[in-house]
Amino acid sequence: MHVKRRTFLKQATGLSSLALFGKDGTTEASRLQVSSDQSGVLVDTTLCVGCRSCEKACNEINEDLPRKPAGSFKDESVFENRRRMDYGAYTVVNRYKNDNDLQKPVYAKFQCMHCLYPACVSACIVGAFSREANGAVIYDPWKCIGCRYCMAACPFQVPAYEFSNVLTPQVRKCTFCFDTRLTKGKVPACVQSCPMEVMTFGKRTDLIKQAQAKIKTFPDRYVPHIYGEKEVGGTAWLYLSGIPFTALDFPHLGYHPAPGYTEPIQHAIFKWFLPPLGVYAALGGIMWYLKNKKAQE
Amino acid sequence: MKNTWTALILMGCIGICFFLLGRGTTLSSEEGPGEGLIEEVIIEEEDIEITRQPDAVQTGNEESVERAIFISIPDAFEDLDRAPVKFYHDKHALALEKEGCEKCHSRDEENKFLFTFPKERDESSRDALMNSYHDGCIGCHQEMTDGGEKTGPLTCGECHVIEESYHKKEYLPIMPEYYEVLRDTYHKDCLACHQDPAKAAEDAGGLDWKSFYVKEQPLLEETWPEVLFDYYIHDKHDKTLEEKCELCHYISPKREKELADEGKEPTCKDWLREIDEEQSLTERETAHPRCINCHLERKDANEEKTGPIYCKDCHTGIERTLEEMADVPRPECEQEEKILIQIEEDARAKGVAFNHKAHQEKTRSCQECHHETLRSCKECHTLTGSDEGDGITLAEAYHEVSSPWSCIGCHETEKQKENCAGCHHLMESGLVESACDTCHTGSLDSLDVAKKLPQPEELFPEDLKDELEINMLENEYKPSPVLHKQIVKKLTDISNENTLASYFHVEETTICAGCHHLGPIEKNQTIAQCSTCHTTRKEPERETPTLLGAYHQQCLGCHKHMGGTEEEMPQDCAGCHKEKDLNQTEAEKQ
Repeated sequence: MHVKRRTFLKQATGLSSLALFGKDGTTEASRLQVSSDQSGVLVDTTLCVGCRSCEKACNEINEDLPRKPAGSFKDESVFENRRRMDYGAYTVVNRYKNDNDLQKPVYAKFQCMHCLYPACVSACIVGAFSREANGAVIYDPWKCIGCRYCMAACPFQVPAYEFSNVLTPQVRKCTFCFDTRLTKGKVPACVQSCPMEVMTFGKRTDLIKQAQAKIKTFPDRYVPHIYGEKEVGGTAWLYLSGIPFTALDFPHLGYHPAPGYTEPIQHAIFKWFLPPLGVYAALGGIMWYLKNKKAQE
Repeated sequence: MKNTWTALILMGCIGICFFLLGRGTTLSSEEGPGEGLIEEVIIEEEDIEITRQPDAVQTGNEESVERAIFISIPDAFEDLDRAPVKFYHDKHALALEKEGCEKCHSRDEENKFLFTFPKERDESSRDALMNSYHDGCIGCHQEMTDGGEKTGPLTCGECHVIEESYHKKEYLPIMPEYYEVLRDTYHKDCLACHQDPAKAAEDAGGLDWKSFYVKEQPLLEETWPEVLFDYYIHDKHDKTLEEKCELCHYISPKREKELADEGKEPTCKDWLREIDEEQSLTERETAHPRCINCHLERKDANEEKTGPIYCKDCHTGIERTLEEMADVPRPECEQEEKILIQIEEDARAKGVAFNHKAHQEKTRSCQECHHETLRSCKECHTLTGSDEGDGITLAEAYHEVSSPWSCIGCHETEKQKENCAGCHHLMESGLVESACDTCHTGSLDSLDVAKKLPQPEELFPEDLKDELEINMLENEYKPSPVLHKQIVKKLTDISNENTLASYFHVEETTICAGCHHLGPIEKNQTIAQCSTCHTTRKEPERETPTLLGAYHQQCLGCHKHMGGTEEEMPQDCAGCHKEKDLNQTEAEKQ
């Protein structure tokens, strides 16, 4: 069969451009399997009283974290500042002003949200991050090269870096107690320790139903929104609140998985290594041209 | 090849971005002024904090109480070129006391003030209106400056003070009323619910989805609070004006004729809040001339009792509590004290016995139930709903849980108040089937059977536990004491003092159900242990809290909602959990 040069070029261009941007717009992360059995935790912030038991339990179970004396978790002065997760803590409790009733401040616990379509997994160039079947997004320090792309990619700004450690720094974030408890059939340490039972561990689909029922039964108590149900494609940790989520420092994110924006660009640049080859070819061409020109002169 | 070019261009773009970014950071770190600016701002903020503090202390000072009226008139001016003018009325009124209101306001044919501004107001166009304001204000200021008097500003920026917050505009979608509950932070955007808003609007009747977004007013704080015309103020007027209702209220010509025919005097029910067919006293344009003119006239006539003239004296923002108004007589309204609300003889539910007088005592103004008129519910809220009653049927008007106007809705609000919320916050709100009979008794006699709950020792003379201990966390803490008898006694007293509770807490053991929530307990019944249902291990498929969660949610939840003192109802850990002396316990073991 005779193929005209022109037709061949057309077809080739079309095919490779398809390959460049993905045939149907799907990305690596969105192709991850999300099973209906996946675990999650529902956090009802209206119940939290700010006792910091979860912080204490987290510090006790995660031996990687710097040790803190048990008494230090009774210190309430930490609430004066808005804290973030850092290399020394996978979870923090913050206190917020309650505009509905100034006498009753709102407390909220934060940790990795364990996204269904995690941006850190997508951004990591060495595969140090992975999402397990039960929903935990975990980190393998042996693979990590310390590029900190994960920190830039995370829409919740969760991963923290051990800047103080010069030789073997690690990226630190909540593990969902994957190795320490989940695989042994136990619930995460913070969930277990909470005296007010702010957190409920269970199947994510069940938790959404539970949360919806709570909003329906007590419409005055909650804002009608489950944070994490749809944000960035869904997260394993779900939140209920009595005050608008923006007042609790929750970012207003879209409902599309975060990697959906970054991957097409990130992958296109290195697709089949063609673009870099192109760059080298162009540079080589220029060199060759200049050399020839010089030789002619 | 095309792909490669695309990728090349992309790479180029990214490269440029990085270049620019890098340049930006080096610039700011190299150039001193950039950093200096930030420092300056911080210092300024601190200064403000310090200067504001003494201000807050001098609340008695007249000038600090004064609130601004924002001159922005959104209908006429729409987008403002400059910040709205913060106008201090009382400051002007006090300075121009000698000249009187004539200085700024014109009078009508009856020689009464029309409280509009300026005197020569020209509303023909945006510019004309703007100019009339400018002439009115600056003209006077100029005149006084020429006369060598102390006066207000003459240049633009002095009145139109630039404050960023006034330019903030919010765009919110107009949603059907029943979606209003969704209007939290995350539902400002159509996209939150509709994947394709344009199509949804098109389907709804060929609408442009962008038309659902309205421009909200700039955020203007500090304006005067609304006047709450409560029983107290009404009573004051009543006494001073010797019950001349017609001075403020209006009676429809039709009703007046009817009354004249019957030879009756008008009663409260006939007086409307309107001053004529169209204008209501609740509107500022009507209320200001009506109220202030009357107050001014009385002042001119040197009457002993006269009303306030300055903004701050009416718009006090004071919400008198029921306790404060306990001695204030309620308006006499020729309404029977006790009525049986029964719309139809053969209605499915029995009639509701209603004590109007008791409800008057529990409200601050008639409007809390009667909206803008003083008519009975069924006149507007008909059985099938009418336009006058906003389509709300009579049954809904009485029973709608989410409405503050309905019987049930108001009772629900009461239940969430201090003293009640301790138990009720854990209970499902709304209509409970078993409770229909409590209201629908069909007989006026039911109003007399308000029950006082028996004291706990009368009810359980033998087996009422005095005090018990919870030692679930015995490894870490000493046992937590539960003053059982004291708690039951206190709750019984609270219930007996509350009228609403004394009607609805029917069973003798209602109070027990606050904690023993399996239902009112019976006298010789063994009470179920908490740990029977609330196990120590969380069962994933059950929503029941574990024992630890149940104790804390019950105890701490109640303490938080009851509004008691920290000593009485501790809310921090140490209040219930006394630290265990670990050394001592180890010594004991040995």
